[in-house]
Amino acid sequence: MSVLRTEVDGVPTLFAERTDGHVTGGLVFRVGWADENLAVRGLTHVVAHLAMTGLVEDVHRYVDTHATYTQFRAQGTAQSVSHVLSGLCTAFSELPVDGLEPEKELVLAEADGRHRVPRPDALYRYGASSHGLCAYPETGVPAIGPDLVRVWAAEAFTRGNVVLWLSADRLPAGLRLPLPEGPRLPPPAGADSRTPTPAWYRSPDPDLLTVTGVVPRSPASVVFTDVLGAALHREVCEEHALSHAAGAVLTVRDADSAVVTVTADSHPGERAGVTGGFVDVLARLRWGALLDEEVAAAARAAADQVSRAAADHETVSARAVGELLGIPHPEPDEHAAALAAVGPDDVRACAEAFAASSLAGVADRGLGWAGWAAAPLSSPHELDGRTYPGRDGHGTALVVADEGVSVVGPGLRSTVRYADLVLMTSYADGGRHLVGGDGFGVEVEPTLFAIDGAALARIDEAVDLARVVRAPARAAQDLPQPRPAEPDPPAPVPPPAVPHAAPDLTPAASRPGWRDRLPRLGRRSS
Amino acid sequence: MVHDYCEIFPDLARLRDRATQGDLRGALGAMDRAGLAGVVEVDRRLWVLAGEAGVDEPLERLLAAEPGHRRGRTLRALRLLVRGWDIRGTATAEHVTTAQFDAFHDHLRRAEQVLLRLCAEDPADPEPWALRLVTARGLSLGIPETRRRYTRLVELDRHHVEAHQHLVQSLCPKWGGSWDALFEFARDCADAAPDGSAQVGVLTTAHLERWAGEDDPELRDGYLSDPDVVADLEEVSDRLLAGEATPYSWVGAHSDVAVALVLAGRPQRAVRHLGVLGPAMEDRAWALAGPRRDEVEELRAQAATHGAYR
Repeated sequence: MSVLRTEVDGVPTLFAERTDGHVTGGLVFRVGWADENLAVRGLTHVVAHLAMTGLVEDVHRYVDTHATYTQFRAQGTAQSVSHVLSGLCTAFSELPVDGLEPEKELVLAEADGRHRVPRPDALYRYGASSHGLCAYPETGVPAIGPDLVRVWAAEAFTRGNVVLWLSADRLPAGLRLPLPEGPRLPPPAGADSRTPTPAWYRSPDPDLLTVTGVVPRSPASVVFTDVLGAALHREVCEEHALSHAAGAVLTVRDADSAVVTVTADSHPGERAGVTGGFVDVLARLRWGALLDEEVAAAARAAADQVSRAAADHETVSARAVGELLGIPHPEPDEHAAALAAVGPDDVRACAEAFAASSLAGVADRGLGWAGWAAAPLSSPHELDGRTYPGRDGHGTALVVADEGVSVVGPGLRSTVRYADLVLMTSYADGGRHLVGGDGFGVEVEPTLFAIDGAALARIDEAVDLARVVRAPARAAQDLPQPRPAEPDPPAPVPPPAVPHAAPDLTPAASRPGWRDRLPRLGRRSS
Repeated sequence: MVHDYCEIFPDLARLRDRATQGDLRGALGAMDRAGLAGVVEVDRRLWVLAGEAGVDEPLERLLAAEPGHRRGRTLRALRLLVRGWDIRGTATAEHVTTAQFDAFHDHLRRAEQVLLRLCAEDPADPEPWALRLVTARGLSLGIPETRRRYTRLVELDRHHVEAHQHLVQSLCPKWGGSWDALFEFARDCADAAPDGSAQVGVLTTAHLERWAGEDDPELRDGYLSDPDVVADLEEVSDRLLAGEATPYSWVGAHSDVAVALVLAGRPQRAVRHLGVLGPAMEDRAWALAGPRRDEVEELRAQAATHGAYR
């Protein structure tokens, strides 16, 4: 059984035949949270929810928002699935914005119920934009207004920006997909690491080693991931019994690249051995005796998996995503042959790429001993401007300059330049929380710094309104308070909430226009 | 008293001279051939060369011509280690300055990165693994990582004497270990050693470390003469004298047990080992003898008159 490429109502379509009487179908759009910016984080999710609200209730359907795509699915009879897909397409032109507020509440409630995994790796690699946005909650949702959702829908949910897939006995006759016209969107910018790599940071969970690295998307990277995961498991779980679970997974990022994520937990007290085991396993794959048989076994396993994969609705849905992202999808035989042809030199090349681009979250002593640099915990510079001392007497101070704000103190330096601002949460009580594109933040709190209304007004005038999210006044007991002076010894100063540094290498002016323009348009109404 | 291994062993002196006087490549090659022929303690030869600043210049020339030269790279790593430790000195951590620590760690990190690549390239060579026990200790990588490295090493060479001594150091409380862990290891390791092997001596080293690490002078005075400790020392003594000795490390093993027996109040036992040692005495044991050095000298003279030196 194979997958047929066709077209339905002008939309590229992938069709896989099934004979059990069920129909499953989906629409995949080339837009996701990595296309947003921090001030509108959650916008795609809200638009997708809103589009679904007008649909009939008795059909099983749902939506998933990913980094670079958003997928709607429906399952039922041919008629009900057609009805849902057509209805969705219509909805993007006439979004039921009256239901916006309840949908926003639903989206926020969903987020509250979800366990948020800290993602320092994403922050260090991408900063507070594009793929780095997964490190943040859906901060933009409260301020999203009707104009913004309409603009986003018109830009992203268009005929040129979608692929349809269906798994049914035959293509439903007369299926209409009345989408607005529009082009295919380019992939999100900023895929290069902002932090010079290889680098290490302190893992938020000291008993979990996490290492990510970027490799070319290729059959070799599939085999490399398998060899790496198996070798690490052997080293730390089987031969030395330091860890319960260790392995590596490959995630396709875009047409050219994929991310390998290594994780290994550690038995109590054995962290250092797990980290050391990882270093030696990677070193062996780069420089050592990589066994032909080790590579061949991984290549065979990967090829077998491809050959066995049925053309079911999961496969056809995955192919639709690939089609949308410009990822070629060879036929199973061809794919299996390419995997089986991967040799030790190909795996070694992947290991080099992985090592060179790696960001490692480790415990204790870090990885400086093995050649990884420490990822920065401070901004590279502080600004020169008017200084407002902290109220707690610990030596921290706020600097308000023409080009941005800094907070400085013992062991602390965090700067946000207005030109690189991605979000300012503006509380009605006077608090201003600024986040820069590199992920460093400055929290301007009148309760913590001796700052006056004029200085706040200077900040408000300098920032781009499109980056501002307004928030109500916080209750008195929720306002941050100066810590009592403890002269001996001084309390350690916490690092910035979202530590990151390195200059943004992509000037705002060179970013694709549509992504910058959108929030500005939307903000006018809010 | 002769502390210098090159004075004790003429072959080590010849090796040193060859290495520093124009034929480092040949010296390293001879060393590896000896290793391949099953002659143990390649590492002792490496440590001898790494103690000579005179190898730096020929070593740079060798590696410029042959960047991949395996033993040359091993020696470069060991030179970094030795120089790093010279910077740190042997004082306890609170007496080492921040600048000293920074330079020490920098040297050790550079050594470690050479060594980890050597381990990856040839998993059958025990020497870089043995040196990585030292970098793991100096860089405070922790007991689990040190043990992982030790396990890898003993898979390659079960009786690598220096490796056992390195692990004894790592398991001491001053490096983050505990006395219980130290003695558990030292006993297992000594039990597994063939009679005569310097590996038997790890138990002596453990007792000497325990004794030297005791801050309370009263407890310290009584420690080595405790009947259980004396029984351990006498067993080590019997076993060291019972079998074929390790090519170079017998000096350390006999020095340790001789000094420990003197301190434990068993001078006549010590005489046997001083007889084996002749004029040789490892500097670490000699330092531990402290105010009892005169007594050791007298016993050594007694040994010389009663029996032939080894």
